[in-house]
Amino acid sequence: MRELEFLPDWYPQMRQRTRMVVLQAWMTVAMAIGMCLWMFLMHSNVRRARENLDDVAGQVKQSRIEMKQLGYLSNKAAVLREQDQLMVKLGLQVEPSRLMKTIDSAMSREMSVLGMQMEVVERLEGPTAQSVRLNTPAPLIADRHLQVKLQGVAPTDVDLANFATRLGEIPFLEQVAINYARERSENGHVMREFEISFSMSLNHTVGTAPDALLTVTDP
Amino acid sequence: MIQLERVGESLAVMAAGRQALPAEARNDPELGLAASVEIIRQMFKQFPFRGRRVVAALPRQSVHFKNLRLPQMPLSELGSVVEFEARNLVPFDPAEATIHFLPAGEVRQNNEIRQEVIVVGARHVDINHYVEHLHAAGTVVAALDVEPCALYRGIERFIRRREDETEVHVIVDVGASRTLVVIGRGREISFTKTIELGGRHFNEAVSKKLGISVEEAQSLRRRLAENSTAGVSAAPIPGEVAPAARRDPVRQAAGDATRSVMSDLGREVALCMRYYSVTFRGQRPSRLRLVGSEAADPLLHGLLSATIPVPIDVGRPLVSVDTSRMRPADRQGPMSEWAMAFGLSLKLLTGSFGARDGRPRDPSAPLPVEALLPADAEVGESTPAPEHAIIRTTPADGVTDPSLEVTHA
Repeated sequence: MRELEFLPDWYPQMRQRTRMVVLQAWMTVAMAIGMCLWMFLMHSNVRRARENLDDVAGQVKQSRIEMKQLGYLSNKAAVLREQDQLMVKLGLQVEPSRLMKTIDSAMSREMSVLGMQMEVVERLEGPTAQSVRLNTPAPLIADRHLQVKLQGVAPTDVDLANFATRLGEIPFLEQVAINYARERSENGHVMREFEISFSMSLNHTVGTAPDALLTVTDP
Repeated sequence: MIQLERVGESLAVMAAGRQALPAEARNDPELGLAASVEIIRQMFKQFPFRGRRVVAALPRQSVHFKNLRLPQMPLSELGSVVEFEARNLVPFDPAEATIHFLPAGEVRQNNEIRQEVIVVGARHVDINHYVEHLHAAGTVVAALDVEPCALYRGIERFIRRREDETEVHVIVDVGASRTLVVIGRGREISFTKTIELGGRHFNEAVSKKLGISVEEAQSLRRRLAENSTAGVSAAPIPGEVAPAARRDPVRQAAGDATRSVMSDLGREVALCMRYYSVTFRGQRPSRLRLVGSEAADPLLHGLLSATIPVPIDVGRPLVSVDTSRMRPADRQGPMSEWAMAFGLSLKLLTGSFGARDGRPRDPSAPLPVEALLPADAEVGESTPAPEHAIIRTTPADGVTDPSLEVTHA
């Protein structure tokens, strides 16, 4: 049987257009949702970035403060370094009274000091072979020592030996040596006259001043 | 409305339902169309139809059928000739209408063999109006058919044997307002005619004769039809009135009232068959198949049998279809009122179909057991995937309203 079809042409076209419109509507809705999501994510990222920026700005501000303090401390360190170098050049100052007090503490009550000479001995060191080879100027280093010679009397040699031993035990006294010890008679009293010498280093290394010397220089 | 599915080589009803047009909408096509929109919506909710694609038949009053005799020519040229000749045939401008044709067969006219063509036309305005209403009902119109084609498809798709290819089929669809006669040979429709007599005229005749309202007359005729077919064992031939029932005075009065109208209808049908026999030489119709909501009326059956010289069968369009999923109330009787909807449902299905039990289809065989089951009986069957459906609206009294048949795919 021949099939007859009376369905108008516009109906399938309308259906197709309707489907397209529905599809486009759904796509529009999907795109709108996507855009909203994207906007939300973008705003979220911007907000997070702003928070990070604020953190970084705070850190920068803190760093600037620290940099300022660092600069101040650097200037201070430079000044102190200059003072230290000046101290190195000048050497340590040893107060004679404190030195004599230290010597007195090492002496027994029966011993007496007759005389004492203190002399600063400086020795300059030239450039080293390595600095000459590398053609780099090396500073001249002054090796300073305080040479002390002490004359006194002691009842016996034992007292003298004890005195020398005590002086040797004092850390900052070097090269303790008895130059001579001889008999002396004065007003019928026989005693031992002696001379003892020792030295003290007046060198000052930058930033590493020994406590003993500081103790010595501390009034 | 009915929805079919293919199960192997046979068919099964997936969903089917009927709902009546309101009484005031039955005689007004515009009101009926508007009411149909709401009914279709309700039926989609009430019945388990799947999808919204439908095949519908144009309202009978919107379609114009004209017969045209043309010289013999190839089928490819026939379309343009019919289009040209249609200007003098249809009562509207063919440019504003859809014109189709059905090759009816060869006829002899003045010692010359000519080709008879059934020209089918419908105005664009009417088609568009109808499609818009269907679309408004929430359906997607997949195809738009005409009633004679839908009616004949119910037979054409079940032709499998070679000898059936030349058999002449006469289908008479007695509806609420009109009767449609379709005569075809083999797979082709040769003749179609609408007779303006139907169930409404029978009811009006009974109403006038007995002095009751048309609705009461409807109920009375339905009750008489049910009583006469209740004793199936006593009346083995469908449509035959049981001997005890014949003596009922009410039945006799109703019969007297409708006899005149039914005889007129019988004469018209007989004229149609005579026209066919005279016009188309060859095999004569061997029987008449009565379908539609009035087909089960034994009085109509009897009167037509007296008027028409061939045996009359009450058509059972769903005899080869598994109807187990239909409501028991819809499965009762020959179910001849589903003929149009069934034909529409087959439009988008291709190929032929066998009987559900594998045996050749024989519409004159006794009614299947499930057709005689009580209303609350259930017949279980397998339910494969859905494929097709039809929509058809019927008035509450079971009289088919031909204004809307929709196939739902």
